[in-house]
Amino acid sequence: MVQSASPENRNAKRSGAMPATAKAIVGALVAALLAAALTLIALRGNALLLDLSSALSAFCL
Amino acid sequence: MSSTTPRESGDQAAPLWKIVLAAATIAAIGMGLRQVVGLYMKPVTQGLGVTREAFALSVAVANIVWGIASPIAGYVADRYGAGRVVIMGGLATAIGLGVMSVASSGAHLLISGAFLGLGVAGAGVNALMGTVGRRAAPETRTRAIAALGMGSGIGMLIALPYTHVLIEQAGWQTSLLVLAATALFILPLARVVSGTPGASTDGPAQVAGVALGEALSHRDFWLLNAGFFVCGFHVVFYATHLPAYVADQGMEPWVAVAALTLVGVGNLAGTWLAGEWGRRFPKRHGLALIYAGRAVVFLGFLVLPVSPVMVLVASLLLGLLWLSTVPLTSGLVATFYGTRWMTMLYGIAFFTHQIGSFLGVWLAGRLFDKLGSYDAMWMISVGLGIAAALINIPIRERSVVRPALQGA
Repeated sequence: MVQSASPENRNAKRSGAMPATAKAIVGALVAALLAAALTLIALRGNALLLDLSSALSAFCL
Repeated sequence: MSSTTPRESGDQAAPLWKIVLAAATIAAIGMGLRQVVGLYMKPVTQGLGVTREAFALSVAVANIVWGIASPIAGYVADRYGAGRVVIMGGLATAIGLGVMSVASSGAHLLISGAFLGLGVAGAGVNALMGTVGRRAAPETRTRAIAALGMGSGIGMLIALPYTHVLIEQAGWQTSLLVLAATALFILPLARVVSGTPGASTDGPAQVAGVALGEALSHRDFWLLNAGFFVCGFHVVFYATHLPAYVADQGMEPWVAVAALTLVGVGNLAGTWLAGEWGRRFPKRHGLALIYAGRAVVFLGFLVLPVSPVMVLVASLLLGLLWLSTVPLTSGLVATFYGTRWMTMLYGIAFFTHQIGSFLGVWLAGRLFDKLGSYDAMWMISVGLGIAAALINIPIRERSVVRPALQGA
C-alpha cells in the first residue's frame, strides 16, 4: 500500500514525528483491541474474578 | 562491569516514533505475557497435582529474578544496546512458557519461573527505558517514556481476557504453547531498538561502576527510590487484596472485576497525563501529587461509607495515579545522571519498587490475619503516601555536580 503523501506526512517525515497515517492505523488497532478486551471482561467478568486476582498478585510482586 | 567505554557507533537509526512504537509493542507482549501467568495457577496445580504453594514459589522466583536481573539487563542494554537484551527476553519468555506447558513437577515450575523472570527483565518496560530516553529530546522524554508505559498497560489489559478464553478453548498446555509462540514476535522487533548506544548528549562518558557509585551516593536518588518503594507497596497491596476486600464487604464479585478494570483503564490515562506533566512542570511535584493523591484515596476507605460506587470511583482515581510514577521517576533519573546509564540506574530504582511490592502484599495478608480487617493497611497506606509526597518535594531536579569532570 502506498502511503499518502499529504503535507502532514511530508512534514512528519522531515521532523521525525509519527506520520498521520501511521497514527491513525495504530490508534484504530489499539482501540479495537481494547474494545474487544473490555467486552470480554464485561461478558466473562465473574469467571475472570479469581483468575484476575491471582494474575495481578503474580504480576505485581 | 567493564571499565571500557562503549563503542560509539551511534544510536538507533530509526526515527523516534518507530523506536517508541517497537518498544511499546515489545513491552506490551513482554509485560502482557508475564501478567497472565497467574491465570494458570488453578489449571496447573490441578493438572500436575502440585500445591498452590509450589506454583506461588515459582512466581516468587520469577519476581526475584526479575528484580535482580533488571539492573544487569539495564547495564547490558546501556552498554551494548537493547536489541540483544530484548532477544534474550523474548527467548527466555518463550522458553519459560514452553517449560511450564510440559512441566510435571514443582521443580519444573521453578525453572519456568526463573526463565519468565529473565524474560520480563529483558522484554519489559525497564529494559527499554534507556533506548527510548536516549533517543528522545529532553523536552519530550517523559512523553516518550509514557508512551512506552501505555504500551505495557495496553498489553496487560488485553492479555488477561484473551488468555482466559484461550485456556478455556484450547486447554492450559496448548494455550501456553500459543503464548510461547506469541513471545517470539518480540524477536523481529528487537532489530528496531538495537544499536550500540553512542556517546550521550546529556551526560559525560562515564563507566558503569562510576555511574553506579555516583547514584548510590546521591541523596536525591535515595529520596526518589524511597518514593518508588511506596509506589510498589501501594499498587500491589491494592491489586492483590481488593477482590478479598470487596467480598468481605458483602459486595458482588463484579465490583472487583470492574474496579480492577478501571484501574487498568485509568492507568493508561494517568500514564499519558504524567508524560505531559513531565514536559511542562517539575517531575518531583508530579510525583508528590501522585503520592498525596493516593493517600487521599486510601483515606476514603477509612472515612467514607463503603459502597460499590465508592470502590469503583476510588479504583478509577487510583488507576490515574497507578504507574504514572514511571515516566516521572525514570525522567528524574535521566535528569540527574543523563541517559548514558539510564536503564541500569532505573533498574536499581525498580528493585526498591519490588521490595515495596513484596512488603505490601505480605503485610496486608499478615495484618488481615491478625486483625481481621484491612483498616490498618489503609492507615499505613495513607501514612506512606503522605511520607512519599513529602520525600519527593525536596528532590533537586538538576544534573548532579561532577567537579572532576567539570575540571577536565
